[in-house]
This record gives sequence, structure tokens and C-alpha cells, in this order.
Amino acid sequence: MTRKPFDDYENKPLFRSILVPISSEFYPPAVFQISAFLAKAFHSTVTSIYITEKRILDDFDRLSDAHLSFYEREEAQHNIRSKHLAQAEQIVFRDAKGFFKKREIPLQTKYLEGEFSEVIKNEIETNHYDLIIMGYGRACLIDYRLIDEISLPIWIESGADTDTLLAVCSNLAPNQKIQIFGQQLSELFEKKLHMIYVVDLEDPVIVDSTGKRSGKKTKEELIQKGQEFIDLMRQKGIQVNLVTGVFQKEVQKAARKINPRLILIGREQKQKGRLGLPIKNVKKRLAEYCDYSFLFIN
Amino acid sequence: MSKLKNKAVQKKKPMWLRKLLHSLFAFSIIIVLYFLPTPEGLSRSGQIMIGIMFMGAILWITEAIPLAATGLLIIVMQPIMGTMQAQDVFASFGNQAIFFLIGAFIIAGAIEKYGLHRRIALRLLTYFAKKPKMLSFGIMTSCVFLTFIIPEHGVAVLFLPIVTSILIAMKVTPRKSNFGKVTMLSVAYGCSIGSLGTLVGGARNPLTVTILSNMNPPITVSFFEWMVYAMPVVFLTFPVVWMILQFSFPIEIKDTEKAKEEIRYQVNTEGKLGRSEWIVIAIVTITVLLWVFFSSSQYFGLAIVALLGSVLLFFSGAITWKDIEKRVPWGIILLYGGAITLGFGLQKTGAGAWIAHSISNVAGDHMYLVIIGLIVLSILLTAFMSNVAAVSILLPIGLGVATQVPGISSLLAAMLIALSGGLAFMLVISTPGNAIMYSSGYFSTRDLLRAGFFSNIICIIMIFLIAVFYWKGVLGL
Repeated sequence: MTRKPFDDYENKPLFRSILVPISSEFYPPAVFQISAFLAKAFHSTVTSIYITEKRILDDFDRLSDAHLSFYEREEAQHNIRSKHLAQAEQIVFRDAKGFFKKREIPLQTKYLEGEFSEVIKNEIETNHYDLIIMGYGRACLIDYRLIDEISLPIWIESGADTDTLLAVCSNLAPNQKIQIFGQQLSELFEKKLHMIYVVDLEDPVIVDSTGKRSGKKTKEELIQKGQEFIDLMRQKGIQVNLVTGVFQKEVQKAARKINPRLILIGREQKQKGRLGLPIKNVKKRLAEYCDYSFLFIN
Repeated sequence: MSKLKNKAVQKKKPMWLRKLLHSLFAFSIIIVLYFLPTPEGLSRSGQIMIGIMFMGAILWITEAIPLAATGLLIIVMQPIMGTMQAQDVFASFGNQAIFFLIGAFIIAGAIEKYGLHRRIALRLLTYFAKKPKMLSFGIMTSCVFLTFIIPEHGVAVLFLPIVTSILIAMKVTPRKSNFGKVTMLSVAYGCSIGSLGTLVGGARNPLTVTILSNMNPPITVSFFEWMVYAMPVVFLTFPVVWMILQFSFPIEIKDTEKAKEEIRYQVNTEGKLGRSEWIVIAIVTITVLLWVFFSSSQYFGLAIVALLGSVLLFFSGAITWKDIEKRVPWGIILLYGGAITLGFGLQKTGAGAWIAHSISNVAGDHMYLVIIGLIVLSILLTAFMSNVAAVSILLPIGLGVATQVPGISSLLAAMLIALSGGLAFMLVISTPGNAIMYSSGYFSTRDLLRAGFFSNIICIIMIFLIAVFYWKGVLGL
């Protein structure tokens, strides 16, 4: 990828081009509200894609291959596709267009078919976006791989609204953009910003500004590094609390305490979990187990 | 970005590797059983047959190869492994239930070609579209009645566009609306429950009849007798399951005006019945009447009636061979063939009886516990594999159990397994009907699991009560 979406954020609007993907499996109406709000604030363009989940079509085809003829399966798949189009046109985009029109924000819409994460990856490869806003459907078959795999900010909207924002820094991330994003969004939403620095003891490494992981560090070294960050932030007038423990758990604990409108998480690169075993999809799990909105500044 | 893309591609588990591992696992069971010492009371052929059963079950669950291909593999493996002679395997395949299925699919194909099922469905819905609750009840009722004459999956395929159009017209938001959940689940569950009612609804029903007729002495069940056994289950369970849906997802919509308009619009687009439609209606009516009154062994038998109806459809010019090529799922015939030879093999080699004996040694021979056990086992197995496959695996064992446990006849055991085996309510993968309704996006996997779990619990209790008080108490099975 040649484009660097995070260049010089301090002097430019955070989000100029927003992508709002909607899966045929899961439609969260709240994503249009937040995308309209951000688009109005940052004068952004918004594109919404309705994705007919290929997996659903494939699963149906596989399950019914012995029970329905090829023609019947094709006919059924055609019906599924056409009904998804109708749903997108008459329910999803109809509501969204009305909503955006009132605020005089142009909304571009598209219909695509494929696997949710793959479609979004292809879309951001061919078109310029600097934010993805989507919902998170728990009891569905969508594979949210993209949360861990792409280098664009992803906003997962839960729809809940409170008076605070929570920005999370840690020894596992470069922690460069989190404070910029946190401050700008705090001003925009007119909500108080809480910042915490998590010293993760499960994966005791330090990630530098280039995203490189260090070797194993002691607890004291990790806390020392955290303290340095906190001092730096204090100089900028930002209060940061230091906590030690497991990254995911500490984020959840802080979220329960603060009840934030949005949790901002940076480029965390956690690789080891309990007993030092490799783990993956930390962000995906956070989105799954917390009921808050997230902004993953990937 | 190319780097990211490659990473994403690498993360995907290769499908061929997964299939290969599943296949190797399936075959390894046969190899292990082939070399293990034979336990007391089980023949060598029986032991290998159990291996073939596990191989089939693993392949049917993992779907490493298509379901129908697993059916073929089961046919092939028996002569290769020396458990059955090739002519015996193919002889068990060539029974009248196969031709009954072919005939039934041809007749269903004619109904589908002229959209008669759609007309019936829409006509029924016009009577129910007065209130949202009634509409959801009407949808379930229509599915139940249609699956008496058309296979269940065909009915689910029919109802998806009808119900989605109604919901879109009502501006019902996917996943958010309980009305959307209830209507979609009503189709999925209505098709499953209705398919128990007649021999046409689900392929496991004729499979059961065939395995019973292969017993020594044979037990014959006619189309009408099946209805006598199964209809109380259908008519008692479907209103209860509908009520569970109402309790699980209280309907928030009050007005059905838009739904009525949409149904009226769809009815109007159907137009008037033409000559061919009337011919198909007449032939289907005659066929169903012949099935009900003249399909017992002293008259024509099931297959003759089905094939007679099919041939009449060709003579009348209502259908052509092209239509049959389009609409008859030949895969189910092969799946059915594999299932029936598996059941036959397990019976002939004594493997089914040995498994049943081992189970009753451990679990005891308490009649009521065995009845509950057979119902629960069938429902659990059908949640993870094709219900034809589940029934074919459990039937020989259930028939074996019937010989071990006092108070349980072969027919009772067979009905328990066949009817419980059709109640796949909990998972998307359980049955194509669930998968196609899930594709609408109106309910989540958790909604399906929640409603399905409670519906299955209630169905277990109801089938148990029907088995004890109606099948045993009234009919003396």
C-alpha cells in the first residue's frame, strides 16, 4: 500500500472519506447516524456498501445439494439475491438516504457480493477511504477478520451514548495517534476524555514508534516506559492513568467504570496470552465481549 | 495493501486440506476397527459395518464430499470390505420406496412448474393477514399443509421470497424486528414439522417405511397408516411451537395493512388458472387419493401410484422431461440409496442389534427412558447432519433396541426415530430449510438456537406423550 492514511493528522480533518459496509446478515441502523454526524463535522464523503454474504449462499448450496436440483438451487439463490437487493434499496438505503438528505450530505451506495472482510479489503484497495464505520453482529456467521488485518481506522458503533470517551494506550502499541484522535473526538462530541495506559503483563514487550516489538521486558521496565509516556502526556496537559494486568481485561474494567461513549484503541500488537501461548483477534474479542462503541486506530 | 491481502489469504484454512483431513479421519475409523479384535457377540462383518457407519456419519457431518457421494461410498465400501455381497447391496437399493421418491419428486416438480404451491400459499395467507400474530400463524400453517404434498425444502424455497416481500412491504427491519424473526422462523419450523405428516414431506419417511418392510417378518406401513401415526404429532406440535415463537419474540407490529396489500398484489399477479394447471391439480388430487386409500400392499403400493401419477402428467403434456431434469434432485436418490444400504447392512450383519444390546446393558431397559433416549438422540444427531443420514444410522440401532427392551415394538422405535429426526430446529446447518430462511437476515444464529432449543424440548415432551398415550395406548404399537 503506497498511501499513508495517518499522515499529518494534526493539521487535517480526521476523516475525509468514510466507508459504511452493511452485511446482509446484520444491519445496525446506528452506523448511519454516527457516519452522518462525522461526515457533517469533517465534511467527509460517505459511501455505503450493502454486502450480500456469499457464505450464506454457499452454505445454502452445500446443505441443499442433495435435496434440491441444481436448477432449484440456482432459482433459490437468485431469489435470495434479489430480495437482498430489495431489502437494501427499500429498507437500508431508503432510511439512510432520507437521513443524509436532511443533513445535506451526499451518500453514495453500492451493492456487492462476497465475504464481508474480503469485500471491504477489495473496496479500500481500489478506493480511498480513511475510516470504516460498521456494527458488530454477535450471533452471525460474519468473519470480522478485517478488524485485525487492515491498516485503516475502524469504528464499531454500538449505538449507546454517554458523557465520556476512553482512550487506551499500552506497551503493545506505538501510542502516537491515540491522543490526537482522542482529543479531537472529545472536542467534537463535547465529552470528557479519559486515558489509560495498560501495562500488559501477558505479552511483556515494548512496541516502538515504528511498530517494532522489543524483546521480553521485566515488569519494572514496562512500568517505567509507561510512566515516561504518562509524563510526556502530562506535559501536553493530558491526564493518563496507569494500570497493570491483561490488556483486554483492563480495558473492560476501565470501560465498566467509566461507561464511555467510545473506546479508542491504537495499533496494539498483542501476540501472547496466558502461559505465553500465541493469541489472535484481540480486538475482535474486545468488540465481541464489550457492549461499547470502539474506534480501532489500526 | 498487497502485503495485507497476502496475509489475509494465508490466514484462510485451505478447504481441500480440511476436506482431506476429514476424509482421512473417516477412513481411519474403518482401518482401526478392521484391525481391532472383535468383541464378544459381534460378528467380524458387523464390526466392519460399524466402521462403515462411523465413516458415513463423519463424512455426512463434515461434508468432506457431497452427501450423495457419501451415499455412493457406503454402497461401494460394503462389498469391498466384505461385509455384504454386491448383489445384496444393490438389491437393497432397488426397492419400491426409491421409485416412490422419484414419482413424488416428479409430481412435486409439476406443482412447482405451474406455481400451484405459490397460489395455495398466497390464497391461505389472504385468510390470515388480518393481524400480525395471525399472519405468522397463517405462514406456519401454510408451510405445514404444503409439506404434506411437496418436500419440505421446496416449500422453504417457495416461502422465502413471499415472506421477504411481505416484510419489505411492511418496512420491517432485519434482525431488529421480532415480527421478522417470528415469520421467518415460522417458515423454517413449519416446513420441518409439516414434513413429518406424510411420506412425501421428507425422504426419511419412506426410508423408515422401507427399512421396516425389509425386516423379518416385514412390517408394512401404508401412506394412510403413516398419516394416522404422524398427523397427531404435526397438529399438536406446530401450534405449540408457534406459541413458543410468540413468547420468545413478542411481536411489536400492530398493523398488517401493507402485508395485505402485498399479498393481494401477489395474488393478482398470479392470474387465472389455465388448462395445464387444472390438469396438474386433477392428477395430483387423484394421486393423493390413491396414496391415501389404495397404497397399502393389497392394492397397488406407494411407488406404483406415484409413478402412475407421473406418467399421467407426461401423457397430459403438462410436463416434459426437461422439467424433470430441472426439478428432480437426483442427489437425494443416491443419498437415500446409501442410507438404505447402510441400514440394511447394519441389520443383516447384526451390528445394529449388537450396538442396541451394548446400549441397553449400560442404560438399562426401562421403557420410558428408552423412548426419551431415542427421541433425544435423534434430535441431537439431526442437528448436525442430514436428517435422512441421521435416521439411517439410528434406525437399525433403534430396531435392535426394540428387540431388547420389553414394551417397545419395532414400529414404535421406528416412528420415534423418524419423526424426531425431522425436528432440526437449533442450527443453521441442521437442515436446508433453516439455512435458506437464515439467508434472509431477519434472525440471528442465537435467535434460532434459543427458539429451537425450547421448541425441541417441548417436542421431546410431546412426542413422548404421544408415543405413550396414543401410539402405545390407543394404537397398540
